[in-house]
Amino acid sequence: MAGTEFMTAKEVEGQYGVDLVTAETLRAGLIEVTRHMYRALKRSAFSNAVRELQDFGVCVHLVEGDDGTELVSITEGCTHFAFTQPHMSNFVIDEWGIDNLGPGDTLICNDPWRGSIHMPDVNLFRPVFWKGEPLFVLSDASHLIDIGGPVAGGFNNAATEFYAEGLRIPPMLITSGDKPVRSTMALILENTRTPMHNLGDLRALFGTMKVGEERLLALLERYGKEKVIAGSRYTLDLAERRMRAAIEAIPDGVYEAEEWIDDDGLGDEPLRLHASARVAGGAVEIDFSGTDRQPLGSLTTCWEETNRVLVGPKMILDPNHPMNSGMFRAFHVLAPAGCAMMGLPPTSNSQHTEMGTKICALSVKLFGSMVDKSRAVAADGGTTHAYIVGGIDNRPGREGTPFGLVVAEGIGWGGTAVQDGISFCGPPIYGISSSVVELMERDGPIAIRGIDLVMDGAGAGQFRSGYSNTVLIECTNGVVYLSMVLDSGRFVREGSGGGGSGMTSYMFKVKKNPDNSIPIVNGIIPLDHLEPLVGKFNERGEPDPENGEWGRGAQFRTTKLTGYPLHEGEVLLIIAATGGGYGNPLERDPRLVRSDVWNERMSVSAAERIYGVVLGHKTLEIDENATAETRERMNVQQQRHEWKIPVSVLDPWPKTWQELVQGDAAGSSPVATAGAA
Amino acid sequence: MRSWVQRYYFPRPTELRLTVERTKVEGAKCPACGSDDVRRYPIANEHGARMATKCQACLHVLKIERPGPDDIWPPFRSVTYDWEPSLAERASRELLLRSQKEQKE
Repeated sequence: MAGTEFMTAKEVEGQYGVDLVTAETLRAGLIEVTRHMYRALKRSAFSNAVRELQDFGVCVHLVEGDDGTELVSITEGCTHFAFTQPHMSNFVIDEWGIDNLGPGDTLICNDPWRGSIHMPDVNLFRPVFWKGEPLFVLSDASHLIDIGGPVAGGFNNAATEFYAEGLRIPPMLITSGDKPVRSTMALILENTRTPMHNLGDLRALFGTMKVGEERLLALLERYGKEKVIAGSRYTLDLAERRMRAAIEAIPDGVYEAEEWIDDDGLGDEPLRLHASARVAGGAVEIDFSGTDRQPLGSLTTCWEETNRVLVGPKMILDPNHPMNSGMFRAFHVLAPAGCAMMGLPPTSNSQHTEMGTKICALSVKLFGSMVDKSRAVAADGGTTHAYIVGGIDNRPGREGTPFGLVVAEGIGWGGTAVQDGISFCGPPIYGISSSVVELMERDGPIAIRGIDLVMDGAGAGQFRSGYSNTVLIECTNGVVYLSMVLDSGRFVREGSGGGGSGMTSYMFKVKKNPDNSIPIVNGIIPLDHLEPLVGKFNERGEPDPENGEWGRGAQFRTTKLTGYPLHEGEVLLIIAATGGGYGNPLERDPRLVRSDVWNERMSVSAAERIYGVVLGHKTLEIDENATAETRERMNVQQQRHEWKIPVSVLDPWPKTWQELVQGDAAGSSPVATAGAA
Repeated sequence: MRSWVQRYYFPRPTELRLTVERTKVEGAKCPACGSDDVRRYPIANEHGARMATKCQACLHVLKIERPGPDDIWPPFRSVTYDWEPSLAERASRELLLRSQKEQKE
């Protein structure tokens, strides 16, 4: 469907047979169905990934005969499910056959080659019958905390084949006539480490479906089949019209972008992702030709990037309209079989997360290059920054209890042409919430010793990037095993519109003080208390994203560790990459620079070194004259290519606690700001 | 049509970078712009895996169809894909059909 974005009330009535008010009421009503499902699932789920992170999606799909289904409504949750569930519904319903399903039937599937994201995500599909006819399919996707296989939590980054990642479930009945299918339930519960947790989650999903079905039937009861179907078509067509109108405003042509991933967790070779987008006649053809072949390690995805790539155009072209399959109609996506984002069986895909973040970043870059610069966004941190912690809980009263947790604390998004990037948020592909510290410490033998930003870590710009959270995690009993979902350690995340690049990712073991304290100020721990696990370091052993050598003096040359043991009393520090800044930092409002310094996000020296803003060390007041002179000098140097915007990092990084709090012989503390006043 | 091939296990590609093959449709002409560069290739659209026949000059869509066995698209497909469902797999549907029949009678 081509045409303008909006229709008159008369046109709506003529085309859909319902008046505009009813059509809009039904559009909202379909979203409301998913809101009821959302509340039911969030309140009843056992998995902390669902309960806290919102790592789920609840959807309504319209049955369209031989064509398949289209997602007509979805509500808040993990962003990418809004993009993957439409295809997955079609895979599963097509294979099983809508004509083979009856009332009270629910299918389950977690297969990445049938559209699932990875195997820990179980996806349920339930047809909704009205007077004996299946009109809709409800789906809910939810992250189980364990799906079996050799590594707790299912993120086996060392796997080269999916057999080593957990239980692969093809479409199977999990309820029949509203009763749980015992054999299917037993298969799942007997092949996973957290059976009672998983039972709770599956029951939560059943309940979610029942709630959704009740609400949808109430809508059908009130408005009748014809009007609800018409309202659904109106809903889909409206999203399509809006997206096509946005595409028509883009100059026809071919646009290209690429992204790099550090490595696949096994080898040392970076992975290149490439896509072109051809815009013509209100439609876009995205082609991933030119992408590297699937790696040996688990950094492969199997289908989902054909739809997750559309997160970019949704963000850039039509971010405010509720999501549904109508927007998909403007796109065709080509993906060469056997490339890194269309891996062939039996490849593994535990690190799908890092592929997803980079595909989304690539897509944001690709579509950002098509539009006015006011809508472009610099690169985000490009990593999930999540850790799957599992093992046996032997704390008193829990001896021998298997546990699993997902720790996710957010990254920094890129700066934009109008404001600083978002801080402490999951990457755009997920948009998930952060884990709740108190609940994690209750549910597993871990203590979160700190969540902080790293001073000077944000990508510089007129509008800087957001800050990423760092995580300090300690094992409090026995041993726990961590699998890291982390990237962007090797390649900096680029700025846009003349902005600087962000800090790369790092991991350290932390040497605590004898009194069990951790010496930290503003996210900075001195070097003599850090044992590098992975990152880029210079010859002085300092984190140096710009000139450092990948893996120098570190234990590993990959961030993608699997089953990393953390013993009782040991502490791990994880620093996630930040995004790039937007625009020249020398044009940043000095008051914003001062605000960052005052709030201990930026050092006094970085304010001058990167932004040319001179602050009194004692007063933190802006020295207007010195700032003007400094900026003028730096501008000239920049134009002569004698100065370039440094990649963000605290420089120098203090070696000792003494240096951290009092400064070295040359000056005052590098991190003390308000405290120095 | 080629004989049935298993789609459970594929070797890792030997090419370092991969490209989608667009097969020229001989004799076809684009009704929109008149170009004879019309090609058929695998895509994902709003429903999922499909085969598109499109003009390469203006991207006009001549045809969208479900992939056939020769297309090997999507890459994976179960051997059971075309099998008749078992009675157990259709139990609720059979109950529904029976009750509908009884209501009519």
